[in-house]
Formats: sequence, C-alpha cells, structure tokens
Amino acid sequence: MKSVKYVVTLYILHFKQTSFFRLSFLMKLLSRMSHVLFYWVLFEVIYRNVHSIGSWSKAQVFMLLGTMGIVLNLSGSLMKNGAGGISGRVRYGYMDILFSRPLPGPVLLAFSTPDIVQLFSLILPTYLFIHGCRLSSIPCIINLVFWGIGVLLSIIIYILFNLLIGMVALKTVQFSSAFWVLEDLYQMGRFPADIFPIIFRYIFLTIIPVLTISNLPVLVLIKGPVYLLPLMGITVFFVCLNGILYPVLRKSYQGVGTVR
Amino acid sequence: MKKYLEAMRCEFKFHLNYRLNLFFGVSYHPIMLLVYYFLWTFIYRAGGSIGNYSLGGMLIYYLITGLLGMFVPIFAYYTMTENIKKGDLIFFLTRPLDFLGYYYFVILTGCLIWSMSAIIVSLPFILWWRNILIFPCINGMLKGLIFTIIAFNMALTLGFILNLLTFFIGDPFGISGFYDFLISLLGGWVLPLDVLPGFIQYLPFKYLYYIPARAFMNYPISLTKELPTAMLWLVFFFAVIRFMWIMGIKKYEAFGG
Repeated sequence: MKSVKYVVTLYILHFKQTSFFRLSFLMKLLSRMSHVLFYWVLFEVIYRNVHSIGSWSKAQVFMLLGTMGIVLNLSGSLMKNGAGGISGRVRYGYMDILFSRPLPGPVLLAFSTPDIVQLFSLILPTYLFIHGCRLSSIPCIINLVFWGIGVLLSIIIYILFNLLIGMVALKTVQFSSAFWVLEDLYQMGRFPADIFPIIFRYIFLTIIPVLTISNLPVLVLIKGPVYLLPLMGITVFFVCLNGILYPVLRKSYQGVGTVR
Repeated sequence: MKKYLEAMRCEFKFHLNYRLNLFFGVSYHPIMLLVYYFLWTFIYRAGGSIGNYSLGGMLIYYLITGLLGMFVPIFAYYTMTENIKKGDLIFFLTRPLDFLGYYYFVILTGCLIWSMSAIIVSLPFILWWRNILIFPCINGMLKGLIFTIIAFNMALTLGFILNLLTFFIGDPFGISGFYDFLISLLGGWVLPLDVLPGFIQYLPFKYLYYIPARAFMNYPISLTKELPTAMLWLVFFFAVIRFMWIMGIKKYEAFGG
C-alpha cells in the first residue's frame, strides 16, 4: 500500500511540474505518438497491396499496433527510464538514497521517474486499437476483459524485464547502452509474430519477450483466454528471476559517496 | 580551416573512446534490417508486392536508407541548443570560430564515424542477401554519392534550423519525435515515396533518403532536373539559417559568469 501511495504521489508531483510547461507538454505529446503513426502508415500501405500477412488481417494488425502502443506508453508512463537510469545512479552513487528509503528497492528503482506525457499519449494507440476492433467486428466483452488482463501482464513483464537488465548495472556500473538495443528490439513487437522464423519466435516469445507483450494479448482477444497461460508463465518466471537476482546484485553495489 | 580540422580530430577521438557504445548506438540499423527482411520475404513469398519493387529492390532500398539514416544529421547536435540555452554561445562569439562552421565539421566527422559503423554492421546482411540485392553500377554509384552529399547538407541545414529555433522558443527538442516522423515519412525512410501520395515528391525532403537511394539502385534520375532543384532548396535553407542567425544574435543575451 505504501508503494502504491508513493507511485501515486510521484505521479501527482510530476503532473504539477509538467503543467507549468504547456507548450512543451503538447510538443512532447505529439512526439510520443509519432511511433504509432510511423507503423500505422507502414501497415496501411502494405495492406493496400496485400490481403493479409500470414494469418493477420489489417484489423488484427491495427489491434496489435494499438496494444503494443498501450503497453509501451503505459509502462513508460509508470517508469519512463527508471530501469534505464540505474546505470547513471550507480555511477554517481545515487542508489544509496533509494536503498535507504523504507520501500522495496525494485519499486523505487522502477517507478522513481513517472512520465505523465506518456499517459496522455495513450490516446492514439487506444484509438488505433478501437479502429482495429471496429474493422474486424467488435470482439466479445469476455475476450476484451481477458485482453485487459493480458495487457496488464504484458506491462508487468515489460517492467520486470527492463528492471532485470537495468539491475545488471549494480554489478557492471556502465550498462545503459544495453537499453539502446532493448529499445530497438521492442520495435519488433509491432510486427505479427508470423513473419519471424520459428527460432526467432521462440527467442522473442520467451527469453527476450518483445513479441510476447504485444502478440499474446491480441491472440487472447482473437482466439481466446488460452493464450493468457504463457503470459502468466512468463510473468511468474520474471518475478522469480528478479526476486533471486536483486539481493545478489544489490550486494555488489558500492556507494561512491558525495561525488556531486 | 586549421581550427576546424582540429575540431574534427577531437570529435574523431571522442567517438573512438567509446567504441562499444558506437556499435550499440547503430543497433537499430541491423535490427530493423532483420525485421524488414522477414517482413518483405514473408509478403513477397506469399505473392504480394509493393509498388514496382522486387524483393531485392525493397531490401536494398531499406539497406541504403538505413545507412543514409546514420549519415544524414536531421537533428544536427543537441549541444547547439544547449550552447544557446546555457549562454555558452558567447565562447564562440568572442573567438575567431564560427559557431555554425564549427558544428558543420564536427557533425560531419560524427556522421562519417556513425555511418562507417553502420556499414560494418551491414556487411553480414550484404553477404547474406548478395544473390537478391541490386548492386549499383558506376553511374549509379556516382549519382548516389552526389545526392548523398546533397542529402547530408540538406539534413544539416534542417538540423541547424531546428537548433536555431532555440533563440526564439527555448528548447525545440520537445517536438523531436514528431519532426523525426515527418522527415522519415516525407523523406522516404518509412516507405519509398512512389508508393505514397504524389504531392510528397514536390517537397524537398525526398533528397534526404529517396533520391539518393534510387540513384544507388540504378533507377534513372535526371541530373539536369533534380540537381538544380536540390541546389535551389539548399540555397533557400541556407538563407533561412542566415536570417535566423542574424535575428537570433540580435535577440540573444549572454549571462552567467
């Protein structure tokens, strides 16, 4: 409960800070939505020339783009570059501040930098998702509820995976460049899994879950709740992995005092 | 000129200090090449096609535009904005060093290093796709190089304009994502422009990715038509920069100690 209160308070403070700079807010909002626009145009043109990509129709790909946008923007709004910033915090010794607070370390690490702009930029992916649903004929309410659970699990996977990669910096100090690659890998999630060869599908649906977080929630919506099972399995796997590695990696951390 | 060469040397050393970061920084290029390879092979093998492009044509288009993406500096350097914002511009104004000239050469060095890194990480793809790729002939190569130089200068002028906006509106980088999207779409980075609505081809952005890529792909490009048009656009952008610089310096107030 204390952790939830902490995250909510940070959100409110960040909203107050952002509302001082309204033009900047609007510009950032436009920028944040451009990733979705990029792939919308790409797939719009592709579907003018083909009927389907594998088993994915235009409507389903739009649902996929919308879902991925919702997962990335919602996770980003909660943690922005929380995990990506661990490297910098370790380098300058800011971790001491986080570790000495009466809240779980991973919560502080992941949620210390919320981003309200990303929350507002959910408008476009949500619209795209609804547009996809309308094109295909609206899915049943039960499946929509399961899709919502799928999205929630995807967000948890995204946050846990980023945290896992970020925590490596507790040991290696400089690891921020891994997030550049990770950001690029997440772009794969905007494509249907069908286009990838089997080996890539296995890798990106399990070890590096970039396809998991986008494709599986949409499959839950289209084909039913059976696809929630792998999502749950992967979530449990990353919860355990974080639980095991966090205490180990935390021991490696050395404060550097008041370097700044 | 000597001082600018020294600036280039410093920039070169700076980039090579963090060699691994350099390769991580261009990771987008091989990852997206891989994705596009899977996407287009999947579509073409299922009998689909885009415009009048073959599978090899599509792949070489994205390979070239990806490399151009590393070479054309559409944002110039964010440090230009920081220099204006934080008052460090005064160091340039009080020394015999032209602010824009300095950044021209520094950015050129950075872009050369980035694109070299991108070429290195692209080599496995070129070898892998050697049987389906369309390689440029001598004529295409020459035209491609000419238009690449134009693309670099045009992107840099656009980047300078973006950074010089700092004089008037504060930090313009809030809109960087949308600016990037627009340039990518209108320049032909998202898709070849001939599969998009025709009016886009009347805009200058096609010289950033589309025209150089088409030149490298041996498509017939009229030098007598495209070259003067590109040069006219460049002159126009240089004039805008000059105007913004003069107005900006009048408005600029240095501060701090």
